[in-house]
Amino acid sequence: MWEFYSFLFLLVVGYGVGTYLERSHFASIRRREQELINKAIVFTVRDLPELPGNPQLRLVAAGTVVSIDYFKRIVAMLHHFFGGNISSYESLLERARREAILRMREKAHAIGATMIFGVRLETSAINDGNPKTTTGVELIAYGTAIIPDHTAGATPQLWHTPA
Amino acid sequence: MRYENRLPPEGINVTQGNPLLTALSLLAGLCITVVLVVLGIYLLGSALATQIPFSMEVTLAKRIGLLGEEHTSDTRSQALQTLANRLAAQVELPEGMAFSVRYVDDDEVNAYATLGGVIMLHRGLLDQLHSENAIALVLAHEMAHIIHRDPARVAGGRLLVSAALGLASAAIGVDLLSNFANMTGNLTVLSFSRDAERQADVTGVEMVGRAYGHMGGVAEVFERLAAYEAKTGLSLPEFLASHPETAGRNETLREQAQKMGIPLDGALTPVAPRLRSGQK
Repeated sequence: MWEFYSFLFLLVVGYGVGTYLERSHFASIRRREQELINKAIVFTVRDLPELPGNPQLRLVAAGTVVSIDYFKRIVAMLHHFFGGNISSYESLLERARREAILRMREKAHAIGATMIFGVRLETSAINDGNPKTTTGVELIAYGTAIIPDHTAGATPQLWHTPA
Repeated sequence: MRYENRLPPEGINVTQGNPLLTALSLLAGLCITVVLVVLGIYLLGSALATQIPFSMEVTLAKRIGLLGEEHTSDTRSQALQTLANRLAAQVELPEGMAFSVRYVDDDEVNAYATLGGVIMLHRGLLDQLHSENAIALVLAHEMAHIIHRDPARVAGGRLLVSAALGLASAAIGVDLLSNFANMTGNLTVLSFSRDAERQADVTGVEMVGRAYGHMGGVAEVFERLAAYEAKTGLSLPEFLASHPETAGRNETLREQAQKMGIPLDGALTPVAPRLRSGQK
């Protein structure tokens, strides 16, 4: 019976705390995305545009590791039997992806880059040595950041993004 | 060429819906599945167990110490055995079936049938029965369980369920689910044995009716058990919890008496003195 109560306790804590943290994380992501809207814009294309002067190219990479709370894990375990969208993981991975891209853009912005090309995302599961369980997910975003040559008089329409 | 970024669209990558509702519906689905599967395995195990010859059941009972000379050689066990033999003669028994009555010297108000045709009757229950007819009913009820192969059914069903749960939990690697399955599994076993109890009442009442020519003393047993149940409140002995309600049992008694065309009342046979406690 004790086992059952601790299970219930973890489930309630997992749901309550997990939901609260997820909400505040999404709020933070939206706010930062709004702040960065004109800065360090990202593209998946690999071919760089014609650039005036002598711009610098740098590799930028950023990662996030998110943990799965107890509630999400139990719900995913139940999905294990019946299939269907594991919506509890969908929101978790959505957060991780957007957070990783945001961190990469923040880094690029900090070094004076205005664009990142050839952006890629990679995911890996962290399982504490037991391949049957997943305790967290790591997400890495990387790409080629372009720091424009300001002395060459960059073409403003190329760098401009609508507000 | 113009390069631009816009804010990422919301609500595309995440399925909308309440996660709690999703969890609950999944859990309900799992519960129903587990109960159905466990019930199916239990019924399969019970059905298979009835195919085991009774002689094998006796061998098993001897090996695990349920059955042996040392348990049935005392005076009271012998006296109860004589009564059981008389009752057994009233019905046609399956091939090779035999009963061994064991008197158990303790206060517990209990009687039960187990593997190998063994019937345990505790002093606590025996002392509450005021006629031989009443004792005969208790014995006949337990004998009926053995005739219906109920102990073998329960043992076979539980064995198969626990084997399946063991395999399943090893495969899933989650102990919690098997614990949960154990709880629900016990509930299904309980409701199944209610039906077996009803059947045992029917056969038991019939045996007593044939042996004595009337149903006198039978109602007394049902009433005593009900009174004991009321007195002890919630702390019911295990064997009572799975038995049908007294009202339903009296109904069975009346129906059976009518079918056999014998009176509900009649002269009671007194209890043989050697069966009373305090006597040596």
